[in-house]
Amino acid sequence: MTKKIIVRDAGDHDSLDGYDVFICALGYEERSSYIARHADRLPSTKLAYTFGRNEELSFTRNRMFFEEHSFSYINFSVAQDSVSQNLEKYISTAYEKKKGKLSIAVDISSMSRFMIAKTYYHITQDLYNYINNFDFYYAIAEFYEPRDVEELVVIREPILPAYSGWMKEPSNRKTAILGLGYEFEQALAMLDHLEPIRTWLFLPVGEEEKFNSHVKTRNKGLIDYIGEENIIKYNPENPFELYNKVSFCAFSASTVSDLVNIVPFGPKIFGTVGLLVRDELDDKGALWRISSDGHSEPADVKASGKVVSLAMSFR
Amino acid sequence: MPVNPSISYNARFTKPKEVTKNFVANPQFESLCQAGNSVVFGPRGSGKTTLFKMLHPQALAAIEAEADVPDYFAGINFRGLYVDTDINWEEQWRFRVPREFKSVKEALQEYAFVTHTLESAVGCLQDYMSIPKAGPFARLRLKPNPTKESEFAKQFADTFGLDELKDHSLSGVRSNLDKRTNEIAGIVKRAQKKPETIVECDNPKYYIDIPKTLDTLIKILTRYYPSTNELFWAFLFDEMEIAPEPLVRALKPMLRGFNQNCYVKISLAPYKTSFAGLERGLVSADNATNLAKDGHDYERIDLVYRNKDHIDDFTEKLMAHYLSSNGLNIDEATSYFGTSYLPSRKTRRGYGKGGENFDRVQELLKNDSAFQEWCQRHGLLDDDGLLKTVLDEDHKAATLRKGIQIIALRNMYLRKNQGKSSVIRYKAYTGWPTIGQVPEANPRWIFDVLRPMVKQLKVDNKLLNNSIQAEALSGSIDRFVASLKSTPLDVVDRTIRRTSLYSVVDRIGVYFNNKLYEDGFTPELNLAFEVDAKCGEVERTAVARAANIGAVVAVDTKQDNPLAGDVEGHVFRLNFMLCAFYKLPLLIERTKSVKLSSILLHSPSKNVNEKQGSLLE
Repeated sequence: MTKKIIVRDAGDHDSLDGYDVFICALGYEERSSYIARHADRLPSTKLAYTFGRNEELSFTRNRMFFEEHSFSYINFSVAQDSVSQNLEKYISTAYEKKKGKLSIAVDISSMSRFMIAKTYYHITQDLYNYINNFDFYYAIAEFYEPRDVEELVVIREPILPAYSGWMKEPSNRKTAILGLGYEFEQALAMLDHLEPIRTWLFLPVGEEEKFNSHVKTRNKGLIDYIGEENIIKYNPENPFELYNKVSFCAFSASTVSDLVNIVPFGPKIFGTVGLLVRDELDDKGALWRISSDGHSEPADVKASGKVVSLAMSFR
Repeated sequence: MPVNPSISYNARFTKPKEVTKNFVANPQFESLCQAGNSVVFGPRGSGKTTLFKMLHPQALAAIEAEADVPDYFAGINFRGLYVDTDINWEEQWRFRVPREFKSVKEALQEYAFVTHTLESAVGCLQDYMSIPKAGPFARLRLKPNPTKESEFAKQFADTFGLDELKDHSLSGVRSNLDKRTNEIAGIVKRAQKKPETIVECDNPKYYIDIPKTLDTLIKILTRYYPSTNELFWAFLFDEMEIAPEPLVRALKPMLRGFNQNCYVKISLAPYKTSFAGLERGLVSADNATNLAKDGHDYERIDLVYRNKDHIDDFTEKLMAHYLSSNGLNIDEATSYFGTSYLPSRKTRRGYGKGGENFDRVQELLKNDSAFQEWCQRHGLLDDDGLLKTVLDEDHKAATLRKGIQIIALRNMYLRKNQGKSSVIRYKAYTGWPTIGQVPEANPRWIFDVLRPMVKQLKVDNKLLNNSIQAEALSGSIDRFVASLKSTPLDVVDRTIRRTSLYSVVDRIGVYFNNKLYEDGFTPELNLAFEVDAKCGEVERTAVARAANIGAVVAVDTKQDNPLAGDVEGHVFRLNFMLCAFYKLPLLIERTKSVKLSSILLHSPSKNVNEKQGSLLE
């Protein structure tokens, strides 16, 4: 049995005060530790997911910070059963210690989309009895130029089997909701792969003009093909507004198609919102993962200084 | 809500009766209409679903009495039972169960597929009752008979273990099968979240033998709806390349003597692991009795073309239909597209002074020292280094004809930094008939290339300049290449290297591009490659996947050429979309081939971010 989740605007809540558990990723990006580093006070239970690879760039600096602040690690490169068990162990211990339901902050900034999905899945499917609310935090990246190399695509599948949706008949009609980013060719290819009857493109338009311009230019072929009228612009710095837009679009689409495929590229916040919406759609929604599975060249990503958040609680 | 443009010419989401409106018959359709088992091999977009849907009773019912139906179609001796599949349909079964429960999952998956097949078959049965009495397919009509229908429904429910029918009719059966699908959905949805729960739902009824079950279905159908005019039934299993492997494995033996009253017709991408051995297995003593034989137990139908004239013929028919449905006329093709830059058999141009080919040769002589040397060696030049005008035109033509596309391409691209903008990049491939040849008779690509140009022609019915045509080609080819770049190989590489489908194809394209533009001039370029024994699993898988997408095309002419199995030892070429991408001639004739291992060793990809160096190291 699962519980209904309520998504709220976290407003200007950018402090980690009041949380019992903090979860983030220990990676090679400088922004991996940005939110933790800038917190006035860190919760007593602090967890960092590790990737088991690419221990370079800002990795050592991040690790030193996490070690100084007594973070515990959960290794994501091992069997997923052990990840689940470890997460449950830490959460249940924190619950016992508090003797009450927990408030959890999840910093998704340097997590892979798979890590975000697994975290969300465990919180909502297995651990909800321990939890009162959980909020996603996202440190927006500094602008970086798109790299002029092809990224390998090693994985192309629903992000978790639980999020693959259900089509009763092969001839059922499908919609695709694509979050756009620098990965324009992968987005184009997903149209060919999924063969949706209808497509909506979510175009990020934030404060960084250069980023906006690059995303639009790189996706020109796709936009021309699908048509400007099918673009929905969103501000990555306003996740609650994005959630409402994706939710509205997905539920409208689900009235005329049997499966809504959400395909996240671009800012990670889109994929995170896609996760929430997919959960609401239940078996009428599929959330996809297109990934190099760690085979792309690591690049350091710095935080721009802006942190956004989205709040969830169980009804 | 707006519709995805690619869908408007995708038969998957087109109702069978709508498919008939845009149908253009090809020789393969005639083969499919013949009696007996068939396997239709073709890459995505090649028209497999269109062919199969044309045999759906809803399509047959939609064909008007006065329509001009060819004899081979009007005379089909079977009633098709159409069964489809889908990529999301497969993905929803991707949940991994503990090894000890794998057989439970596979059994449930087969049970789901059989339920889907039974429901599709009963749906088709209903549709055969709607075929008009006076239409060209009146022979296939089943007369509605409530008593018989009720008996059939009861027998069907008893045989296949359906819950008690509330309504003893075909609709009642379908609604009961729908209930069964919902039951399966409940189990799968739970297992997607908690795979181990699948074992709680284990039930002996899921363990079925697919061929045996379908054989039983045909027996019941034949009993209640016996043929009075020697008609057979035929399962039409469409797009089995995206069906789960266990299901496809189960279908394979059905190609060999499944039921004397039923044919099995399957459409498939050229390489499906579970179909490996379909032909080669015949020579294996162990499996010989269980495997079907091409030309004996089934007819193989290829939806790729090995002859350029066949490409041109079918392309022209498709384009004529598409243009006509938009108020345009194929006879005006040169006034829409102009004439091709690339020479072809259809556009003979003179080699004598003042002839277009003469001018091209002269132009290349000025800029290409390698070509100059070659002409010199072949006695084509006068003392001033110009093409001899006194030579017999036939002599010049005989010497130069083989290489005239290469001459044209070197002329276009040697001097222009190989063309970085899309207009220059694809300019050589614009004009009629070349613009129609590039999509290589693949209906989806043809419509994709034509769509923006037809839109323009409808606004302003005048010559489309090279830029508009090049942009249209660029859009289509970019979308195709994007698919190549984003298709994972799913091969676990023991040497830690990971590669993409595109990186293998790109090496091949770059290799041939280098041969054409960076090596000396030769009028005959070997554009075929052989998958030799030095190629590993990664490379073989890449070529097989590329063939399934249509990026490479088998050029073997033997009947036992590669399909459904291993590609090793077989010869392929790049498709024409990729030939345009790599600025290569559109040549189909097989010359000599180059070993793929040699290409991969000598042609590192220029574009792909890979951690390893050359493949095969």
